Amino acid sequence: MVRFALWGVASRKNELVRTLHEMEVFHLVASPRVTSLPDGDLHKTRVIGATLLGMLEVLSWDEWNTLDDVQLERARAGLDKLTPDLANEVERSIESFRTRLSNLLQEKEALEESHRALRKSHQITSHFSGFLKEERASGNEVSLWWIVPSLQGSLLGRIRKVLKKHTSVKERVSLRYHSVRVEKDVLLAVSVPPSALEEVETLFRENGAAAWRAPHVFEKETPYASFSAVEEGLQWLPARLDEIERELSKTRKEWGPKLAALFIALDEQAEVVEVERGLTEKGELFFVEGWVPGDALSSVVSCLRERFDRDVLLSWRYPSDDEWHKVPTALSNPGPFAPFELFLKLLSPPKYSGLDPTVLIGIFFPFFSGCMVGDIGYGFFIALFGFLARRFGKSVLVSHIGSILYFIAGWSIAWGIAYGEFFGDMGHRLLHMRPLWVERSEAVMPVLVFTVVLGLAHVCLGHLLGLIEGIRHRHKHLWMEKLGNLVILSGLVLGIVIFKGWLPDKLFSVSLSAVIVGTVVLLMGGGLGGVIEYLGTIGNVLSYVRIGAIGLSSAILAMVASSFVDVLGISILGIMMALAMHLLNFVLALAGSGLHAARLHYVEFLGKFYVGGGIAYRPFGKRRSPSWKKP
Amino acid sequence: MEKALIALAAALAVGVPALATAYAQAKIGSAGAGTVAEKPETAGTMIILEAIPETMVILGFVVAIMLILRLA
Repeated sequence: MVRFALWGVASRKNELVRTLHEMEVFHLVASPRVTSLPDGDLHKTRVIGATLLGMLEVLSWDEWNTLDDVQLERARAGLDKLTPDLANEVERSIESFRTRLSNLLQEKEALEESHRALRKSHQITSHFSGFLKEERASGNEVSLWWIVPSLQGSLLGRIRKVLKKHTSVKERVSLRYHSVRVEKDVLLAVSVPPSALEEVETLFRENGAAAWRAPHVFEKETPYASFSAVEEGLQWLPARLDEIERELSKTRKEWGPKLAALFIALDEQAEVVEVERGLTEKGELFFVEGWVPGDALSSVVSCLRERFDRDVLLSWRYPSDDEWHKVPTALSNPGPFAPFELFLKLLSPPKYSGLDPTVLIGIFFPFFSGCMVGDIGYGFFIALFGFLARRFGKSVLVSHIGSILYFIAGWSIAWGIAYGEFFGDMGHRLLHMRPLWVERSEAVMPVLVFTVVLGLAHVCLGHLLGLIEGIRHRHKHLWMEKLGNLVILSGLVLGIVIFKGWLPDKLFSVSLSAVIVGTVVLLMGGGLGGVIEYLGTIGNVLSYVRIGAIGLSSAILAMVASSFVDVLGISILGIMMALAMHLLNFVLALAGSGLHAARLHYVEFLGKFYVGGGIAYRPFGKRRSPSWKKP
Repeated sequence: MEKALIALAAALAVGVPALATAYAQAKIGSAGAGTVAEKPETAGTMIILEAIPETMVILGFVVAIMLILRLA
């Protein structure tokens, strides 16, 4: 990175800021004024942006990765220069659209509420529809009331007395009623002649009963009319809701990307305006400074000189030792390893002077992961998934995951050859495959020992890198601690080798001396905390045994899957069971191997040397670069 | 009898750490779910944290394998 400063004539300030924005390489050093600019039109732009985000939220649109570059460029072209008039025009259009959307959503919400109430009401009234129709046909009126269950008997008795008053002995028939228990209350429907209706209703009211009512809009003069309105409502309401949902879906599809593109373009423009107004000005001159990657320096200088000639004065220098902590970090790794930069996204970026472990992760992560999967057949399927992710993935992230899967697939196939596994022991059964190294389901201990040795090497590499980092940054405690760890580990390994009888016993004193010297160095470097960390290091080394253990369980599960064909014969059931088991094993192997290999890196490896806390390189430019294309 | 005891020892070597791992993962899982709900960008970190207690059961599994292979 190069510290880059620029003085220019104030009359060309806007043009120069936009040129820097187009270049997309300039990491601005924020001036204090940049953050305190909530003035008029800029504030309005921010509000419009927030409104757009709110509308996208309301539309449930969240497909930023699918945003078309053409739409984005169109939105950018439309907002090429954000004047107050244009901001007002955009605001008016958005407000009009927002109102229409809001009305539609309000209608949907009200209809959903009515629909819920109607369904609830219909659940109860459906018990009375037959009764109502019959009584209406006989010329009687039906009255429907909520009552307390204990009152039902006495109320019916008193209604009978009322009926006696209103009917002659000849006309008299028994009281017809229908009741349904709803939770703690009873809904009671009674059929009475029209002449007795008023008196019966008064009787109900006097006894604290409440008349049944249909949901607000569907309330009619009589219960029968209300029942009909409820049933009709249940017909047209869902149809209208479907219509609104279709309309919303169409709006979402059509307007979601447009609104999102407009938001991005507005946000970019607001940033440009913010930077323009935040620059330090002195009379007729203005000043801007920031960081530019070393490899982009010549193109930046030539472009600025070509466009602004004598109107700008450029100055640059390389950072001094005391300002390394201010320099932003841009990761730059060789093509095949670039996808592994993904792993550092979970951590804070490395410091500018720190070590970027991406290449090491790119080497070891697929190696460990492949060692756990260790199956040629599974390896081919992982490669297929990698291909699909790269071919159909709609974001850089998915494409990078696809690339990482290729690496894992390669190592899975390589380890599959070493273990002689092709969908478990199917390779051995059908193709008489033999392992190139060992059959891991049989030779368990050699594989476990190998993984511990692998872990020892990986952890030692981590300590070695920590030692180098400590020496580079003249961090005495750090390098002494790492050196102490390395010396003790070497002494212990030597001791084990002697114990095994692979080296003469007289070398035991060397081993013991190494442990003692290492402990002293460790205490000098890290104190008692260093000793505790050393114990953790032993745990870290043993933790790598998971590579063998997970691999072993995967191999055994694959064999179990294939054995279904032995047990159930070559039948549809046997083959389906075997395939289902292989599918389960494949998912477990892929997820488990990726997760545990990542964990080994984050916890066991990076912890030994990686120091985050760097500043991420954020070039002043477009929010989303259109340069990325599907590979 | 001896084989039965070895088998029991191997089962305990896997079973007890498995219970401990399950307990730890349940605690981490619920805390992680809350964190991811607040900050979705921490999902990756939470998945890694969820895998950390598995070391216990994996080491238990290795011990069980060693018990069976060496003693049985």
